[in-house]
This record gives sequence, C-alpha cells and structure tokens, in this order.
Amino acid sequence: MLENKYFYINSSEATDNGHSFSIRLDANHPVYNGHFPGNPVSPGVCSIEMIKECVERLVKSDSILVSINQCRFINVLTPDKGDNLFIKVSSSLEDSIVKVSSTIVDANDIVYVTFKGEFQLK
Amino acid sequence: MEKQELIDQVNEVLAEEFEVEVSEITPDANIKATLQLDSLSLVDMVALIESTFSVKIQNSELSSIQTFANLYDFISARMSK
Amino acid sequence: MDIIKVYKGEDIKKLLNQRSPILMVDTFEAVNDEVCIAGLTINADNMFCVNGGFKEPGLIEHIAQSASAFVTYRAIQTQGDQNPLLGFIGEVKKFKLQSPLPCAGSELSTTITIQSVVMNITMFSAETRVGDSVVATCQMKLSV
Repeated sequence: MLENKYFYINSSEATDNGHSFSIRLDANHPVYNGHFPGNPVSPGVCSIEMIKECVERLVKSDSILVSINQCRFINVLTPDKGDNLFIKVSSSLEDSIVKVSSTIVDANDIVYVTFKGEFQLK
Repeated sequence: MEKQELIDQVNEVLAEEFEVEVSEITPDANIKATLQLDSLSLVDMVALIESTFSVKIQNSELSSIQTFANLYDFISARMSK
Repeated sequence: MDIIKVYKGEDIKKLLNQRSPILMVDTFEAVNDEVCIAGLTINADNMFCVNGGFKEPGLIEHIAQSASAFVTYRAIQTQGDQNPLLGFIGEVKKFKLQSPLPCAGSELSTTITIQSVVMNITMFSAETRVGDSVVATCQMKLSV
C-alpha cells in the first residue's frame, strides 16, 4: 500500500539476527499535506505499515497485522530525516503467524520506532 | 496493612512489571534509574501503583517521589486516610 | 449518561490538527470526563482503503485521533477555548484485531477510556466496533 508511494526500499541484506532494509521516505507524499499542515511529520501508523511491507517481502506473502504486543515511537520521524533509514526485522514463523521484532533507525543509530507484533499470513 | 508487607508488595509488582530483580529495589535507590523508566513507562508505573493500592498520585506529587522509600511513605500515607 | 457535546463535520477540526487525506474521525461525543465515543464512516477514497478494504494503519490512526480529539476536548473544558493540541502516538500496546477488517462504507465507532494522565502523556484503552461486532481493542499512550 505504501511501498513506492510513501517510501522506497533501496536494498535489503541478511544480518546475524534477521534482515535490514535500507529505505527512504518520499517527502512529497500527500499525507504530509494533512499530517500536519505546514509541519510535516511521518505518521506512526505509516511506520507500522512500512514494517509490515518489509516483512511481507521477506515471507513473500500478503498478511494482516493481527496483534501488537508493544510498539513505541521513541523519536518523532520527519520526512527530512527520511533519506537514510533502516528497518531491521527479525521474525519467526509458527503455522501461519509471523512473530516480528523490528526497529526503525537511522545511520547514526537514532531509534525512531521499536515494534513487537504478529502478522497473520493470507 | 503492615509497612513491611506493603514494601514487599510494592517491590513485587514493580519487579514483575519492569522485569528487574527484587533485590535491585532498595529503599534509597532512585526509582526511574532502577526501573529504567522513560516518560512512557513512568505512566505505566503510576497507573500500576494507583490500581494496585487504589491511591491517586497527582502530577504535582510525582516530583516528590524519587526513591522507593518516598514511594512507600506516599502509599502508606494515602492508604491510611 | 449526560452527553455533553457532539462534534460533527467541520466542528471536528476544532479538536484535531490532522487534515485530508489523514483526518480519520468525523464524529465525536464526550460521554463523561473519562469516556468518549468517536466515529468514522469509511469512504472508498480513504487513503488507507485498498480495493474497498480498510487497512490496519487506518484503524490505528482512527483510534489515536479519537483519543487526541478527547485530550483537546478535555483541555477546552478545563482551560477554555484553544487550538487543537498536537498529539503524537507514543506507544501502542495490546492491539488485537478481533474480526475481519471493515470495508468501505462501514461505520466505525470507537470508545476511548482514559486510564491515566502523567505530565503530557495520556494513557487510554480503546475498543472499536462496527455495529455490534468488536473490530479491535488496544491500549495507547498519546503525548501532546
């Protein structure tokens, strides 16, 4: 839903505990007209959706976010900080549920989002 | 409720919620540092204490609760009312 | 239950800073100091609708905005008229999707119950329904 509109995936690579996606935000996305007028802030829910779309790329399947244990928005993300972000994902598959632990950080290791939740594969 | 009984109960609920050893909770230790509270988890601590001991912690009173000893005194004072 | 005030249409903008395409509340009703009910009729052109299906981020944003509207409403009640407070989601906890995601045309009704307010952070629980069925429940912290 958001990939190639709200954000772009530059590349992804396996890491010792999962995968890391290099991404960038599109500062011209229309959501910034309303969030907020004259004060663009990346909506937290769009960060959750970006994590989901990275997970779907990994498991090569559509999915539904069925539960969030905890998701914290540690620092306010704005599109001007959106050039060089990383979405780190570690996941485990049990039946048709993907349990995911993820963070969104920048190149200086500033943490914007931490996420623990579950996706139901379609 | 006996003061020691109150102290044990406070330590137990905090240790479980914030995943620290009860032994780490000593009366003079700083609450935020020991439980590694940030602005978000501070709300969890306040809500937990309020619901467990049915007391109300006003924002203005929060600044006077720095150590666990302050917390024990605050709760026992409110509970005896 | 004394319904204090109902906000609809343009009035909603008195309670929220979000604007199109991400304004996700179209009715607001304060039930009492701790509880409010906010609503959203999902239009097919909603930014979080895909092929007529409303997606998870839209649901979570609707819940967050319902609470943000309530925080502003409470501030107006206690401190008098003012611009909407800028609310950010600080944390989402125990979010559970409990029935299939609603489709375009559905009417969401979300009950917000304030649990604790510490400094600039409001913790609340939320339950969203479509008709009688519960769509999702969660707990959130909003920082203003």
